[in-house]
Amino acid sequence: MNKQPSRLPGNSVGIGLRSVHIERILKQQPEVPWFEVLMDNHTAQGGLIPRQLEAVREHYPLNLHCVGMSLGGVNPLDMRYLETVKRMIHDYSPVQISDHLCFTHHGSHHFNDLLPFPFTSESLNHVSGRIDKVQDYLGRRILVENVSTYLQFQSSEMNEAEFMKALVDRTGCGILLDINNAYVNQFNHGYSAKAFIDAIPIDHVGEVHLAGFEDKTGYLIDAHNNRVSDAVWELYEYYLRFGHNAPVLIEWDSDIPGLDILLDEAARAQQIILRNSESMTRYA
Amino acid sequence: MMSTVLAQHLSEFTRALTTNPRDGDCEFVPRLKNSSRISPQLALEIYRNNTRGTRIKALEMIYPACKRILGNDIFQAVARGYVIEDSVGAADLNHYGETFSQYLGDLLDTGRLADDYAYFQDLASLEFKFHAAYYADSDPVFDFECFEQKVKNGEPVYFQLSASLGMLASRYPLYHIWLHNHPGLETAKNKNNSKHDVQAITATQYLLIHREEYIPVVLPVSNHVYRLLEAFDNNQSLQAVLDRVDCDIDVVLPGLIANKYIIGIRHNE
Repeated sequence: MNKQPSRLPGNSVGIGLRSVHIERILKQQPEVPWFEVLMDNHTAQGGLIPRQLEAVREHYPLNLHCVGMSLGGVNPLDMRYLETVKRMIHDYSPVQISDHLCFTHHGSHHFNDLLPFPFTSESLNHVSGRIDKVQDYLGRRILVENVSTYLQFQSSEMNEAEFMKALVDRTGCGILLDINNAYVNQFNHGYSAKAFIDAIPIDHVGEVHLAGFEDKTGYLIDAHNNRVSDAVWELYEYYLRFGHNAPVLIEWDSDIPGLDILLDEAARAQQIILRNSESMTRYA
Repeated sequence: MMSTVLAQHLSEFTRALTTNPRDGDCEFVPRLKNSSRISPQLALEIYRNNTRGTRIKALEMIYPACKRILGNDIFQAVARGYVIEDSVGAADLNHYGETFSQYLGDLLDTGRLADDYAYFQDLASLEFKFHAAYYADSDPVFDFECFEQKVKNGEPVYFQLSASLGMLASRYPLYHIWLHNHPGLETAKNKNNSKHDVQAITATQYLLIHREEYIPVVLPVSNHVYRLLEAFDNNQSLQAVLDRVDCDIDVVLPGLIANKYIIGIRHNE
């Protein structure tokens, strides 16, 4: 049976698919409404990876999360990369496709990291054009994720929320709201994560990410190697308060624990959703 | 679209991350706001560490036997040296680190890695081929009709080798070393192929790395088989090779096809 719905259920709590868990997932088929595939780890066309993905897809809806579109970059769009995204859309019918508001390579240098760029009107024109091209090529709307940053540009003419709102208005893209990233930025840069959530076009949030950070004593690193912090859970409740119900993902990318820990985090998210269900019903 | 100011910022950012911190920071730092928690210099160091850390983790995944033999601390130091020297990186981390074996060779040549590790360049090469085999494309089924037709027509036959096939000749007992240091081999097919003792090997060792279905294997092979596959890999035709091999091709060739080292005929030679 192939379960690929056209959209994910509101308030459903998915988990990031990690290779160390796949065998158990296929064997036990835990009650997880959907999984998110980190595309760049699953591009192989032969061997175990595509077979496992195909098997998971038989039982669960998948989202495709990318890190290599370099939407904020000035190199020409990497058409080979986009071809791979398109192939994976064809092969695995993901419900949603997302990437980040950042650049990942410049000139001949590849950083394998999500690097910020200044939020200027020039950047806005440039990134809007790239998102348009990506969406046209893929034939799909994409979600664009806010990233954690450790620096801010003097030349920025608008804040991140204003920039994202303008992107949504111009391109019709959706937003992937990473609440952990918003919190890391609040801590590191001193601006309000709640104000960020309030300022983005919340109705266009197609997915929420929750993850853990690493406390470096004095600043935070978006390490995705930990449980979701209490502060981030509180912000998630803040997001839920007006009945916003985008599907939410438990994301854990390094020092990956057993699947039970991720299921436990997902259960906590579900409890918070239930606790807020009254206000959701009221505002739905 | 030409994004001049944006392009300038990204170029300066890139230089700051890929050059000596003092050289690279100077033009970029004034572009940044001061923050109470993270200075511009610290921010750049965080990004440098993120990039390097991600690449070092990739190397740890690709070279587990090297890491096990060197120990974590020395491996981290060697890997860090490599990623600093290789500032370009790779778009796809699954394909990162192919030149790590050459880097190890340079360390050996310049005395920065002890002679005890003289086999390390070969071991790293073996580990990368094993890693590449895991990610290789699937192979088509051998087209016997096409093969027979070409032979019947007297046309030169150029064989296509498996996308996952890697070959390595080493004067070190590499197979034994690898078997004892690659994680998870107690459950792999490779263990049953362990017939060699590290002390017993004096001649060049010929190894194939191949993935028939899901998990790659490393297999010692004879000099004849190795040279034959090497010739095919170097675009030599079957007819050209026949004149020079000193093995019974009628016996060897079906085995190479049955084992899926040879997976087809090239048409565009």
